[in-house]
Order: sequence, then C-alpha cells, then structure tokens
Amino acid sequence: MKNLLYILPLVSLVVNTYAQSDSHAYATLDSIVCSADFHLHNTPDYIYANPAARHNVYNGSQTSIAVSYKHRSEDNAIIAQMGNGDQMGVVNIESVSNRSNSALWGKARFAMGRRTNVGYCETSDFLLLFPYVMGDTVGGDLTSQTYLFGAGLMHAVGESPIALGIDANYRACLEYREVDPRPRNTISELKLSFGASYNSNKKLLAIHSDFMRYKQTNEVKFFSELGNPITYHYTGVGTDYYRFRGNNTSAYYNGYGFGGGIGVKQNTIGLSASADYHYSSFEKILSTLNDLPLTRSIRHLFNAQIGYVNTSSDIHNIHLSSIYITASADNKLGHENIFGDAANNVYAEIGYVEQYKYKKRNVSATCVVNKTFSHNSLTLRADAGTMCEKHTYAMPRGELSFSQAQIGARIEDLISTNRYSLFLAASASHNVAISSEINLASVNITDASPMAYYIYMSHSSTQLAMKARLQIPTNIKHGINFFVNADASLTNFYDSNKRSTLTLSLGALF
Amino acid sequence: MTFRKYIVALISVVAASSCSDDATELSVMNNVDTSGIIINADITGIQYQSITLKFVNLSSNEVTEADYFGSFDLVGGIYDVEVTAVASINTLNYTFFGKTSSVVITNAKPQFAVSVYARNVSSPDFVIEEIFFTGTLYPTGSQYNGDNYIKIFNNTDHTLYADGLGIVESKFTSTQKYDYTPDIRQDTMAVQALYVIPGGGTDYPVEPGKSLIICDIGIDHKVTNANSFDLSMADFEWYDVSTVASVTDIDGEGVSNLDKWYCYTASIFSFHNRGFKSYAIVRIPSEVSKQQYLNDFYYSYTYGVVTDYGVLQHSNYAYKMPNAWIVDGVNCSVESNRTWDILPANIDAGWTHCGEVDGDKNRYFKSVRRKLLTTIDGRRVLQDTNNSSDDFNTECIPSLIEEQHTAINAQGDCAQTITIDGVTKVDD
Repeated sequence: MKNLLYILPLVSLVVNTYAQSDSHAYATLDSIVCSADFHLHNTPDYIYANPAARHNVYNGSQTSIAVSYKHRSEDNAIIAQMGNGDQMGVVNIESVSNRSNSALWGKARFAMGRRTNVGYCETSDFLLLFPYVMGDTVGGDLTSQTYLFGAGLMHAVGESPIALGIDANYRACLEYREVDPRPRNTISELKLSFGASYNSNKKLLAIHSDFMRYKQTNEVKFFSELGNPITYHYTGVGTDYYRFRGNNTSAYYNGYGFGGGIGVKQNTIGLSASADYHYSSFEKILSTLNDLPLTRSIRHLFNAQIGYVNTSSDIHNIHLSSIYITASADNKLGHENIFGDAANNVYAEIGYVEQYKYKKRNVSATCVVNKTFSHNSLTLRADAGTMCEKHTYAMPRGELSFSQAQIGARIEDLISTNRYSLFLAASASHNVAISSEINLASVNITDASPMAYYIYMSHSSTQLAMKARLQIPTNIKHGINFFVNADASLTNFYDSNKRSTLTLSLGALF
Repeated sequence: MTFRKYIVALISVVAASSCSDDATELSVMNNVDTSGIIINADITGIQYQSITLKFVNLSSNEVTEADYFGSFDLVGGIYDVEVTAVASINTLNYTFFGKTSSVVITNAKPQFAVSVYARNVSSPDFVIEEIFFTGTLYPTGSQYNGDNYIKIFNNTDHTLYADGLGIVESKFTSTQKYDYTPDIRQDTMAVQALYVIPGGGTDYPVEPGKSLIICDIGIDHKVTNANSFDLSMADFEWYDVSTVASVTDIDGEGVSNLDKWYCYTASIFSFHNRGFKSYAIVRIPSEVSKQQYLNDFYYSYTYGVVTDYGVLQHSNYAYKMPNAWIVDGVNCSVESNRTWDILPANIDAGWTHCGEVDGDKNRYFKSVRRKLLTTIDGRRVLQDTNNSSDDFNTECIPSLIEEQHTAINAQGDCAQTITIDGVTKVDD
C-alpha cells in the first residue's frame, strides 16, 4: 500500500504547480488516500514535484480504483465566483509499475457534479484566471464534468545515481448551465514536467522544468424572451471593462506557462531545501469582436521550502522529528488593452494599461514529531504562519487587502495489524486577522463579490477537521485491499458563516 | 551556511517583498499638462474666464473632471472629452460647450483640439420632445409594429408654424463606425428617411408649450393589439406606398400624411426599434424643392469592413442633410454597443437610449422624453442644452400610454401615473 500512498500527494503537487485550479478533480486525489508516511507527509516535500526525484517512493506495483463523493457547503459563499457548495462524484484509477531502477505511473479520472450558486462568474477556473472573467449578476448552479489523464516515468541512467523523469497531465473539462444565463465552457490543459536527479546514499539533488498550455472557450447564451442581464467583463476589485459590457458573450482564453525548480534533500538526517519559480500568462480574447484581445494576466509564483529532518531508530521504534519553513510569493499583474475607434468593424489596439495587481505572501513553519512503534505510528504536528493578500486597481483607485496569522495542530495515529490498518487524524487551526483594508473607489460597482470576500477574510476563523481511513486486506487472488476513507471539516467564519466539507471514498488496491 | 542562516535568508526574501505598495503606478499619468489641448471657439476677441474639462474614459466609463488651468491625474486610454467654458466677449459673458470623441491619450501632455459653441440659453425653434421608437408587444409577447411616434414641441414663447418641417432618420448607426469615403460628417448628416410636414407656411401653427404628434400609423392600435394605444388623434403620420405586397402600410383616416421626400425602404418605414439611429427635425430652405433636393443632395459612399478574409469594400448611398438646416437632433444608442455619436456636438453632444444592450427585451413600451426645465405662466419650458444625455429622461413610459392608461408591458399592466417628462408627476 505504501507506494500508492506516495503517488497521490506527489501528483497533486505537480498538477497544482502553477496555480490552484477550481477543478475539484485535482483535489480528490489526496482525498482518496491519506498518506501516513511521515517521510513524505511530514517532511519537506516540494522536491517531489520533480518526477526524477521519486527515488524509492514507489515500492512494488499496484493499482487503485476508487469512487468518491465530495461535498462542500457554505452558508454564504466566501468567494462568490466559486459558489457556495459542491457536490461531486469522482471515479479515479491509478497505477504504478515499479522496478529497481525505474518507475512508471499513470492515472485516469472522471469527475462529475454540480457547483451551486456561482455568482459574478460565467467563466470556469476562476482561481486561475481571476480577475478577468466574464460574468453577470444572475449566476446560478453549474454542472461540471472533468476528465484527467496523467502519466509519468522515472528512469535511472544505467547504474549511475543519475535519473531522468517526465510527467504529463492532460485535463479536459466541460461546465455548463441549462437555464439562463447558459454558459458552456470547454477547457483543455496540458502540463509537462521534465526533471533530472542525482541520488547518492546520503542526499538527493534534483532539478526540473515544467511547461503548461491552456485554452478555455467561454460562451454564454440566453434563451429567455423576457430580457437578458448585462454581461460584464470583470477587471478586478469590483470593476469591469465598461466599453465591452453588454452582449459580448463569447470569449476564449489562451494561456501558457513555464517554470523550474531545484532542490536538495537529505535521505535521513540533515538539511533539505527546494525552490521553484513559475511564470504563466493568460490572454482573454473576445470572439464576438473580431477576436479582440481584451486583457492579459501575468503571474509570477515563487515557492521555497527549507527544513531539517532527523530520523533515528532503535531496535523497536523509529523516531522522526522535522522542522521546516514554507514560503511563497505570488504576484499577478493585469493588463487591460486599450482600443481606438471601432472603424471598419475593427478596434485598433493603441496600448495597454497595467491596472490590476495581486500579491499574496505566505510564510509558515511546521514542526513534526513522530514515533513509530511495532503496530502503530503516532504523529504530532504544529503549524504557525502568516499570510497577506492584496488586490489593487490603479484608477479608479481600488484596494482590497488583509493579513492573517495562522496557528494549527494535528494529531495522527496509524494502527496496523494483520487484519486491518486504521488511520485517524484530528486537527484544529485558527486564523487571526491582523490587518485589513478595502476601498472600492468606483461608485458603480458591478461585482459585489470583493466586499463579501473582504468581510470574511478580515475576520478570524476557526477550522476543525477529522480524517479516518480503514483498509482491510483480503485473501482474494492478487491480494486485494479494500479501503474506506472519510474526511470532514468545519470552518467557522465571521458572523457564524460556516463551511463544511465531507469526502467519502470507497476503493480497492491490488 | 548553517540551518539558522538559511531560515533567516528565506524570511528576509519574503519579508522584503511583502504586500506593501510598489513605488510608482506607471499606468497613471500625474499632473497632466493641458497646454496641448486647443479650445477653438472660432470667435475673435474671446477671453476665457474658466474652462472645465470632463474626461470620460471609454474603457471604464470613469469620469475625471478637471480645471483646464489646474492639475489633475489621468490614466492612459481613449476618452470622450467635453469642454465647458465661460468666456467674455465685449464684456458680456457666454457659456461655451464642446465635445470631441475618441481621443487617445497616452502621455501626460495630450494634444488635441475641441471646437466649442455658445450654449443655447433659450430655444429659438421647435425641439424634439419625445421619441417612441421601441414599440409595443402583443399579449403573446411578440413584437407589434406601427405605433411609433415622435412629438415635436414648441419651446418658445410664441407661435411657430410647422409647415415645411422635416423629420429625418440617420443612415448611419451609432453601433457601427466605418471610414466612409467621402467623409462628409463634419458638416452634414447622412439620412435615409425624410418626411416633411406639408403646408404653405402658416397652415400648421403650434402654440407655445404645445406639441405635434407625428406617428407611423394614425389609427386606434388597440383594435389590433390590446397592449397598444390610440393614435387616431395624431397630427400627422408617415404613409408609404409599399412595393412589397406582403408588407403594406395603413393610411389612418383623419390623420394627415407627411410629404414623403425620400425613404430607403421599398416597403414601409418605422423607427429603428433597437434605438441605434439618430433623429432630427430640419427646416429645408424654401428655395430648395423636393426634386432639387433629391437631385443635388445624393450621397454615394464607400467603406471597408475588416473580416477574417481581409478588407471587404462596400458601397452604399444616402441623402445629405446639412447640419445648418437641423433644428434639433437626438443621438440614440445602447450602452453595450455604442461606438460613436452620429450628430456633431453642436447639435447633440450626448446620446440617449431605451434599453442597455442590443435587443434588450425590456425596452418595449418605453420612450425617451425631454426633461422639464421650468414652467412659466403655466407654459412648460423644456430643457435644451444640445446634450441629450442631460436633456432627456430615458426609458420612460411614453406620454400617450400614460394619458390613455394603456399597457406598459406584455402582460397588460396599465399605466397609472401621468407625468410631464417621464419623471415629474403632473401634480408636482
């Protein structure tokens, strides 16, 4: 089982390298299996985004098939564009073939479900494309179908400690609504990662690069005889591109990205560090106006992790302690293209204005103590960090910013016997608002979502979470293991606004 | 380097790039220099006492009002610029107004010219009081044609004669702008319909504060559409002898027909019911006969349309209407699709609308109505600053629907309140 436990967070890390996507199919990866392996879960893990760095990660060859149900519910949407809930069903198949000097892995996933009460956004992948989404003040539920295929290979070069790796992921997504407004969005996204590593007995050195290509076709139709709402092209902090609001309901997004990272990790005791940088660019083009390039967002994302791991063992027990710091700096710049007179059916581009800026900073420290006995493994984990986020719009001047301090604790226990293995975890975290500011300068706000987001982010919140996983081996041919997994959380925001999540998974490993 | 040094270095990097502001915002131009903005009044001996600039950003609709002689900031972009100037000429003060459209401003010293004109302080002639171009709906929700009308108002303190007054609809639409060759837009309106009130000069007097109703079909439309209203009491109608057998006009009994000088359609004419056209009332000089007008004012033009397959050349024709003959004009458009103002700023420096988007289903049963300025001895005086954005109330219940208490929507809900200008109640 151990090898499969490794796969999921790794792949999840890779596919989320550029930005958090609002595709919940990605998130279900680690909801199927909760990794109990402290070497990955409780030590610096950024380095494993590199496919060539997955030395000794996969033991043996296994396949996993799982079905999951994922539920999210918020009394009031924290991010209106993400809706106030999800109900998703997921079928996930993953497989690993592992040999002494190579590993091959692959996955296929289908996710289908509904996102409820999406507001101010008829575009998919809001978290990737914000603030330049198309929307209206009506919104509604969205039906979503996602197909994800991924495969990767790590192979050592002869008998040398050098390994090369490649990982590829393709996502296709369709989101739509069958009442007005009727968006129909199709997404295709390809991500490739190439890496090389040097693995000595004591340490692992790795370097990798990755590339991304993205396209979304975003069309909204109205069938109502009673009138249509205005379609807006939002530009951030409550503003929209006034000139092209109205009936321009067809757009597409072209995106690309690239990046790379480097890392070093001690295999048992010592310092680990990794850093990566990613650039991405998304251009929004209005199809209805002769493919008018309306806006462009440029993102620079920097991640770094540094930590120290100490693993020791005696005859009966293994002891692990680690401390590491994770930091990220996320910058996004928004360009609005400016056009001259629409002569002869064409808007001549006369320049661009850098109106929107987004900054997010995260620094967190994690301390983990683990003790593994003969039949169980107990882990205590504590986190503390700060984050700040700031959205600004140049003119009319608008600003939304807040900062928070975060503290959290988690306890885990993995009980393993011949008849079953049971993993239990409970955690609590608290976010303390430090500072906040909002200034929506325009009096004609067409997007009210920043205000709601600000209200919840500028106040403290508390989260409680629990996780349980039971895995039962059978005597059936090929040694099939069945597992059931439950993962639940409850977050209490300002004004008793609650977010609850629940993921239930049932699957088999063989 | 020790572990502690690594941590210090990492925290330093993140802290150095915290969420604080960058030093400058490059997209905003500070302290715009107005010396390159030429205010052209075409009058000698003028001395400006104050000049106010109003920049309307076409991309964001953000409005920046600034003193020409003061300091202000502006973001680069494309603007409509309105100028209001107070100037003295021979010790007398006048207010001038001008507007120029689609000015591209990319640096802190923009260079462009704005022609300004003395603003009307009183209307010397007729004004357009109301245009009902959207039409009504049948109870089934489908569109009904034939009940368009326009009201012409005597805004003076003396009787005017409507004889010879023409009503025109622009050839060009406010939602599509092309480079027309030859370009006559500086001083001429291209028209596609011209109907003229008959008469010998004193046949159709209009008293101060009174209106003429000129409609499409002068009948009681409630007979054919329960949601429409009665136009059999209209003063005039435009009647077309259609050459299309399936589409014929109705000649309302008791309602005089306008003299049709020209109309682009071979069937029947009605106002552009999505509101993309401009309308004007004109006085053609008496020495210009209908035949002479049709001979001498023909306008043939070409323009190119850029498509995926290249530039396609088109040609079309219309009739010229010199701006000097225009008594009053109104630009109409919809916010979502407007690209330009067809009439120049000295005739209409603004635009008005019914509906916000192209094909807005909410536009039916609504009209644009000129605002009430004041009442003098019981006589209404309507606002006329040659800026329909300011002068008109938009999306009003049409005055005839109010007076007849007929339907205001397809469901047949009836108008309850009577107003003077779509907003001001009669009792007020």
